Amino acid sequence: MSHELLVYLAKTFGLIWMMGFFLIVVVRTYAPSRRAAMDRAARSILPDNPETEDRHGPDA
Amino acid sequence: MRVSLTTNERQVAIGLSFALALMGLIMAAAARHGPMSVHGIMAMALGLGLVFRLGGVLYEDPPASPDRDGHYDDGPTRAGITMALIWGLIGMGVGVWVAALLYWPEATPPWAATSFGRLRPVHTTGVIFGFGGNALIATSFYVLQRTSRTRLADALSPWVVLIGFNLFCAWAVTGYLMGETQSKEYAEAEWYADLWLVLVWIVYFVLYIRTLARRAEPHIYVANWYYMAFILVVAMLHIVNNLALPVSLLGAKSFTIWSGVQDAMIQWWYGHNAVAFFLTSGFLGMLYYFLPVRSGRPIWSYRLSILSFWGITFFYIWVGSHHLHYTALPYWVQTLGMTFSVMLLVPSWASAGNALATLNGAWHKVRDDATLRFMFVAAVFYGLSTFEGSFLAIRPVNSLSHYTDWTIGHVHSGTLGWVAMIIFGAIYSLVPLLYGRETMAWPRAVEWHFWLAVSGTLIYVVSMWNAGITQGLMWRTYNPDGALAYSFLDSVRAMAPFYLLRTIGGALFLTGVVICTLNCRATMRSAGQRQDARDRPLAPQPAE
Repeated sequence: MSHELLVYLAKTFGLIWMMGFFLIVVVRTYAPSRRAAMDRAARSILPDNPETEDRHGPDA
Repeated sequence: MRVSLTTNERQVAIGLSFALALMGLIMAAAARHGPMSVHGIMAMALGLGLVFRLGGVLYEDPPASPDRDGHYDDGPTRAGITMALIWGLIGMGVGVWVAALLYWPEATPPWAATSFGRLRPVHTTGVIFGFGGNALIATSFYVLQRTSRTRLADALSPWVVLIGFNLFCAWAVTGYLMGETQSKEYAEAEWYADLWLVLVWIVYFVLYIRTLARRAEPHIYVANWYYMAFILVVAMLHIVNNLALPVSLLGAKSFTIWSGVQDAMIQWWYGHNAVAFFLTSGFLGMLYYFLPVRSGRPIWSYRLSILSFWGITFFYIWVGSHHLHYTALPYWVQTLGMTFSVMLLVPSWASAGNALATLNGAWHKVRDDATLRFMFVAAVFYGLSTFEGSFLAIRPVNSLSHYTDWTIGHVHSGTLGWVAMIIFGAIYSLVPLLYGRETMAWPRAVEWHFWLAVSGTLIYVVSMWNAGITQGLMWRTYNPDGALAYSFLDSVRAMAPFYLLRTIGGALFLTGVVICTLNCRATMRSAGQRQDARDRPLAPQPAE
């Protein structure tokens, strides 16, 4: 593979692949409809009792 | 092991142990002499030992099925923690010894096996793979089961992973003492040990995936993603970097299939990602589980933890070439590595900040609980050393720092300050739980360990910063005639006080690990019957 071909691939497919993947991850994690599921996942490792500390952080 | 295996599993285990002994015998007989035959004898001894151990309990009553299936499978985690502590003592003990040799080189014993060049990889392999690897395997089994609310997919393969991995580590370090090496940093072990590790790692990955497939939770908790990235990417790195042709199937020596600057690039693609996926990804999994559990608070932003997972996974893969600034590697590849190293700061600080923000509001717990304080210090050092890493990767900065002890200081800020601290936090959280006790046997000793570890790390890192910057500046100081002002030997002589301080810092850190090991031993020996009320209940299992 020549340097020119590699640069061409990096600037086209590579760019779309990385930016596209990044956008998909952002949309899927920060979609408002998934807020409750994310919050549940974060709490899933803690014991289920009301004494646990209040909700905090940006996901609350 | 005895109580957790059914009669059928014991029979299979005996078969596997016998196969291991046979493989060892064939290796030893075929190689006839040299490191490979010694390693064959080691494998044979291990296999025979396991055959006798398992044979002795073969017809003892198997554990009642409902009783066994009603509990998590924590035997491998207990054994893994013990192995991590043993390897920690070996690896760090050798580290302090070779640090002392740099200050007192005349103390080097007259045997080849104890020369600096052979002992140094014993230190790196002992701490990275022996101490770090066993801690990762042990905690991954624990976290995987709790977050999935299911038992490990089978009872045998966790033992195959643990025993097989420790055989690899033992082969590696004993091989170095006999002068066997591939001369690749962090990948010194020879071809047959590398093939063995591939087998072990496949069993590990398959076990992880099978257990996840049985999970009783809809969501896969983020810690598992980090552990899986660790397992998967380490396999990829290990296989590609260790592609080699043995001179003979009957001997240890092999030659890599890579040549010249491509060899250098593959090696540092591997080397830096060993830092990324062995020493960071898996330990972030540990952090994202044990920090929330110990502090009783959910992670500050679960979404940010997912975003930084993908950022770390995608960026880290590209940064290896920053180890090869100003070499024959094409300039643009160096620049690529530098750029991704700087970008990497964003997801790294997102993780460190997420951990610290989780503790915000629980500082009284950090003050009172040395275990949580270990995790807090780990997050701080993670933030510090990732900043330093991005900074050192910038080409002009690297021209000052590279080949100096600044690099050593940076690595130890990561390994002592971040990796070891989070391991201690996890160990002090786990050992009482796994042995049915409320606390460690000697709670005060945890405080002692904490302050020894922190002061040892600070002395080590600060002395190496000074050493490295002094070296870098001496090597680029010119006199009015345009000649170098200092000879290389002048810069070596100037290191003496820093090397002494480094030895002292390392010795303090090692003392802490000795205390930790004794504390764990005392806790294990006074195991109670307490069932942890906080432990997540196992989901009801389908009959098998």
